[in-house]
Amino acid sequence: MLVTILCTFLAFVLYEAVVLVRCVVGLIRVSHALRRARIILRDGGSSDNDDRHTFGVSVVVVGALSSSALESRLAIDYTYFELIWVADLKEVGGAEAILERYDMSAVDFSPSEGLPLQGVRRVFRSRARRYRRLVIVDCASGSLADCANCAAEVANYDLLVITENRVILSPSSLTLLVDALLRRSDGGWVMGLAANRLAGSELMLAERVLLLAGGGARNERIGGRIVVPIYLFRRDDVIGTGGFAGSGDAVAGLARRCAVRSRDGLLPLYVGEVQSADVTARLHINPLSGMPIVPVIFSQLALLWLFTIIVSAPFEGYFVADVLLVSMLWVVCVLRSTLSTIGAVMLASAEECGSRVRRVAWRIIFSPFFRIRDIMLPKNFVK
Amino acid sequence: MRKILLSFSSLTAIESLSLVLRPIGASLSVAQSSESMIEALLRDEYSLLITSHIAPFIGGGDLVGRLCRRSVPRPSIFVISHLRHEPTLLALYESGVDQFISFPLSPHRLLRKVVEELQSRP
Amino acid sequence: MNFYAISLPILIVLHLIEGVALVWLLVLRYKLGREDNAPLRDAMSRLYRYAVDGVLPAPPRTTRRRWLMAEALFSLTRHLSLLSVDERRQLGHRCSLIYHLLKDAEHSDGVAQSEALQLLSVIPLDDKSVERLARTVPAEPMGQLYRMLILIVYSPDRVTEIIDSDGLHLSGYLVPRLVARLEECRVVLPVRSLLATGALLPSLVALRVVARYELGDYWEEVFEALQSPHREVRMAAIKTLAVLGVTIDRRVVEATAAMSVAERREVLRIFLREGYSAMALQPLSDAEASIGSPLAEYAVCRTLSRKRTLVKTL
Repeated sequence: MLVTILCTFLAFVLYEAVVLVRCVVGLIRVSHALRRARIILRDGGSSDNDDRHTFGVSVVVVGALSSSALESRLAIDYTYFELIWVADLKEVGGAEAILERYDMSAVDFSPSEGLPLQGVRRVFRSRARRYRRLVIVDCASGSLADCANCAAEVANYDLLVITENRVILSPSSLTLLVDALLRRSDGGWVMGLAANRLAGSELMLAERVLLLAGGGARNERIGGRIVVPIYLFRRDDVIGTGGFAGSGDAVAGLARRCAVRSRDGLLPLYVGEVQSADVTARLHINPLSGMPIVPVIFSQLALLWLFTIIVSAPFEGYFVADVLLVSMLWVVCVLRSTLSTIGAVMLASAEECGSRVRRVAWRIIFSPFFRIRDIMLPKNFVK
Repeated sequence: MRKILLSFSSLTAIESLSLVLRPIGASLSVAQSSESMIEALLRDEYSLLITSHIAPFIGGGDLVGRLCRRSVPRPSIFVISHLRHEPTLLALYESGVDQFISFPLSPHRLLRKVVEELQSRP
Repeated sequence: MNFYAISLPILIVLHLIEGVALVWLLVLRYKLGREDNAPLRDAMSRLYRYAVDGVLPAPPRTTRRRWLMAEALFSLTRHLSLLSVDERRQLGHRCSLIYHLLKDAEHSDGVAQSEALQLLSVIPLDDKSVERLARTVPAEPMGQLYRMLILIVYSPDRVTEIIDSDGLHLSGYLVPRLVARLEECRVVLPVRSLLATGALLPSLVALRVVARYELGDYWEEVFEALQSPHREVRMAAIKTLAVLGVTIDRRVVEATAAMSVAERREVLRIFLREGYSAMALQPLSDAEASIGSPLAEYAVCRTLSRKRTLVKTL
């Protein structure tokens, strides 16, 4: 019987030791990667380099925008970029002021790509050189598919990003998306995520959910925050498949028709923000977010107290109680280790660390727990 | 004392230029993002802005116009970038940028230009 | 044997170590949130002092400080024309940057390898180091780009051979970056011999150089590139001709006749983007009309959509 107890104890110690070693090794590598990754990755995201921007991108925004909102959409730091704003200008308050501000004038509109077009009234371009990257399309149709087709028709460049008016792309978003697309040899499209800033584990989960949904739905809720997939398409693919269609999510539908490709192991790109009235959707980085401090401290103290009792208690001769006690200790310690390991990984996988660090942390520490999370994911999670 | 605002998204560019401009003895402020650059410009008075951000000038924000409409003199504006796209450069000049310099730059040349610009201001 | 007296110390020690590791990570996370740039600033100041006053910095003692020194050198080289080739070479040897970066490049993979090569690209190498580098073949495209850049800078007379090497799969989008880096390193590229290879990458590099500097002397070579079996080369050749302002004549029409509809549409868009009018593109439109192609009116429609008519706004 003593052998049984000893085996149980050794198994427990071994498990603890393995978790501990993995945690420590992972922390050392994360720490090393953190220190190395800080400068290069940060500057690597900078769009100071003109030579990266040789492929033009037409960013389409569908829906009503205010003047300041339009201005923020033009703040993308990319050389060959144009913004195509598609909206029913009769419904937009202050449309005339916007047209005047950017010195827009109407141009002829002659469809030439064979896309199904509905409701286009007029197309405006700017007389001023500095606003040449703005194109405004007055479209009576409220359907996303129709608006996106209008934009694809007038787009000057060969790459397209379709967004709705509640999404703001970050200044370096196009550089990230174009780099990712052109790194593929098989073409296709790439997906970024627009969301209020998600913690690392939420980002991974968001990506998995969106991929499981077969190319993504219009938006998902992850931890109370809205996540919107952003697609970068080749314009030729849009024309070749006959344009956007459907009354549902036309953009995801086109992604499916363009033959969904594998992700090639690339981590999701965080390319923008979703403006939402949701209170939880505010940008807030807490250095301790994701760390279950209270449960960990509590379980540590409880464990030490328990040990103190065990050492001083007269349990000699009570074999059954010994086994039960050891088992209970084992369960408590496993739970405690699990909580603290999850907390450590959540801290390590913060977005600022960069994708390489995250891969290291996940692979070394978190992979067995990720499977548990898969099992726990509700089947009807996707709307 | 003259105040210079440095605004680059690249941290190393900021550090490099800080080293070059130290001998001038001007007060150097730093803003990494374009939003913080605009905020700093509208809040304080600067003699010179050196930046790589181009969107505030050609994105419809009319930054230079807003700076001109204040009661204090507007800062001189240097844009330093790897940019080579001619229409964008012309658009920058049209928007009110005073000088465009491309990377990699000569520290002596930059220093000379900055000193000349600061001396020409009242 | 008191079972609990043995188990207690072991468990407490294990818990303590794990607790320390967690606290350490919390501290790191907090430091990352603070964005402390003092070490980088220090490294850059030392290099700047070396460039201005000739005071050679002391060799860094830790891996982190060595990495920061390499990053500072890279950034100062990219942003300021400060350190000469000899000064960078001296720094590379004195601070053991070459040795350690090369070791990193040989023993790591993926992004880490690309980063090491990126930092190495601004430090002039000696023969032995170049030999070691030639044996390292990165899998990441950026790593391949920087390796190629280093080898070309070391022996610029072998540039055609290096770019045409087997096993290198740089995609077209990295070509502008390669050309820009070579320009910064003052390497002169032999356009004719690159185009004469007929291979994908050398042709793209050569066409990019011709377009970037608008070298009108290479008309014939660019026209020959239109017959390339690679689609990317054909489109790059069209872009180059458009940048050079070629007159659309029989040669251009014949060269594009064999292309698919999608490619011919892209050709029209390329010319339109470079400012060609519908009238200038008439020969292409006529060729499309003669085969009953839907692209016959394409140029006219696209050009009209840029013209302003006198219409009252809202």
